[in-house]
Amino acid sequence: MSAGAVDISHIFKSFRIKERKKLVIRPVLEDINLSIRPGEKIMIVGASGCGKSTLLRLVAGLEQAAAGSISIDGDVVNGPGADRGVVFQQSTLFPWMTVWDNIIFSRRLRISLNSRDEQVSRAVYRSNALVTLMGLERSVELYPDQLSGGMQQRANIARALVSSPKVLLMDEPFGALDAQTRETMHKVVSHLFNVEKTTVMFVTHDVEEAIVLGDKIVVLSANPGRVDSVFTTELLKRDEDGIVIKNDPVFFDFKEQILSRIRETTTLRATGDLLQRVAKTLV
Amino acid sequence: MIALTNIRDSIPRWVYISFSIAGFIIPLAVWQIICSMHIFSALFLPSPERVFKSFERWTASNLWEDTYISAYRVVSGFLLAAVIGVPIGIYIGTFKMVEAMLQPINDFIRYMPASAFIPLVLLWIGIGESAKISIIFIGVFFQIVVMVADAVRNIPQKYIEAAYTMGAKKGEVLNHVIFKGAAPDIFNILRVNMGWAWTYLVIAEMVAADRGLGFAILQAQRFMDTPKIFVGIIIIGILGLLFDLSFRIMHRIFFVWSYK
Repeated sequence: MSAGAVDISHIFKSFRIKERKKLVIRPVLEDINLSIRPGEKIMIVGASGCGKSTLLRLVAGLEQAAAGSISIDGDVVNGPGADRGVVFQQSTLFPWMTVWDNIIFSRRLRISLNSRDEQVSRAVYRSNALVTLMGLERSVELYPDQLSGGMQQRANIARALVSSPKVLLMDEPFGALDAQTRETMHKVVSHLFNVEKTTVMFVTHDVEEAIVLGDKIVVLSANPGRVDSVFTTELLKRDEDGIVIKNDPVFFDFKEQILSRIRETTTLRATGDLLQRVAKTLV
Repeated sequence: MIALTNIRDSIPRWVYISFSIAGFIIPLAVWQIICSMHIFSALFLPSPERVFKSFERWTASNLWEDTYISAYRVVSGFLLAAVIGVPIGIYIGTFKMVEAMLQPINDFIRYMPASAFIPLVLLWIGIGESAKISIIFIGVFFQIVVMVADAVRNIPQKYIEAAYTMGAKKGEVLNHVIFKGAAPDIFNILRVNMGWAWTYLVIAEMVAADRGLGFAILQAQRFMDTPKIFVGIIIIGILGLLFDLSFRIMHRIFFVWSYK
């Protein structure tokens, strides 16, 4: 698969939730518009509950929008499919398969690996390449439960990429990892992003992670989620491997700008809500 | 010093086996002591020695034939229930429509005692082998269905979603995720139900039987042959234990991943 232009147009999404024994409709996303170029790495940040993961699940086809449309290279998303690889926060490797069987799972669904045609050798070649790229050579025969959290996420990424999806969707993939492992994963994924030209949508609550890994950073405001601002990382200093240099005043300024946007969108709304509640109580 | 009473702490294998053997020897010893004290009449509680002699007598006549026919009935009833019950349970746990249609009726019948079906079975099926097999089938089928449905529901949604995002179709999700993920639990459910199938044996052999362990126990009751009742019960227990052990060994072989 090639290309991978994502067009998100006027997306609205709400959930029915129970509030004081009554079913209420809570809007989560409101009029989301995003246009992502093929190969672009888009990071989505925002306060907790702003709908970042919901947006990703909509693109993955795991949720249906109330209004609006999402298309990949002009094809409207109607449900999940192999053109969009997904890496979730929690590992979704099947515990009953070895790491290798997990990685090759999507290929095995479509082609019989016992046959000897070119498709098979290509699938095995790509799987092997991803195993090497993610440093999983010694883990392929193990079961997922025998791997550390970091290694599990490497295998999840390899598995999501094995079918060469047009878009890679990552929902806080390193959220459950410790700081040191996360740092290592940033290096691994930066390298991966340089090698794989797949379009990436990456949800994170870690602004630093977003700056290091992304081309663009989209800040979502909360309650309901709207696109508040979009930042681009092209002006940041990078080392010879193309990785953003963190120890730089420009980096700190940039990070602060994004953080202040997140704070502002959250605080404004939280304050508004609080004032409304106080007013109601007084009346 | 080995800590034996730490919560969920593992203990050495030899200690485990010693305790398992002790679990059999201690009741046997207590039984022997009570008998030698002559507290109860031998009619109510025969000594282990009398029970062993009864075992020898039965072995010399037709114990193996009785054991074979009983095992045949239990295994047939159980297999029939498993072959039909497992797929139905999987479908109930997977599709809400099937759940809505079959779960309430299954739960309704599940609470009915299998012995209450004996007159109906006699009426509908007759007095042949199939009648006895049917009673065992009725005893375990509805339990298998409800337990398998629950095992399937316990497969985390994240695996199903992950499979869909990798391009799996509905049937592939059912086969590669739901069935394979629930397989160890389903196997354990079958193990437990195999045990229950043995408990239904005596009821099943109330239906016009002329051979079998359950039938022999019922006959022994008529003639107040308490030692033979003991032998019959103990043999059913041993057979159940052997089946249980075989299931456990197969579980370890088939589902290596669940022991990691």
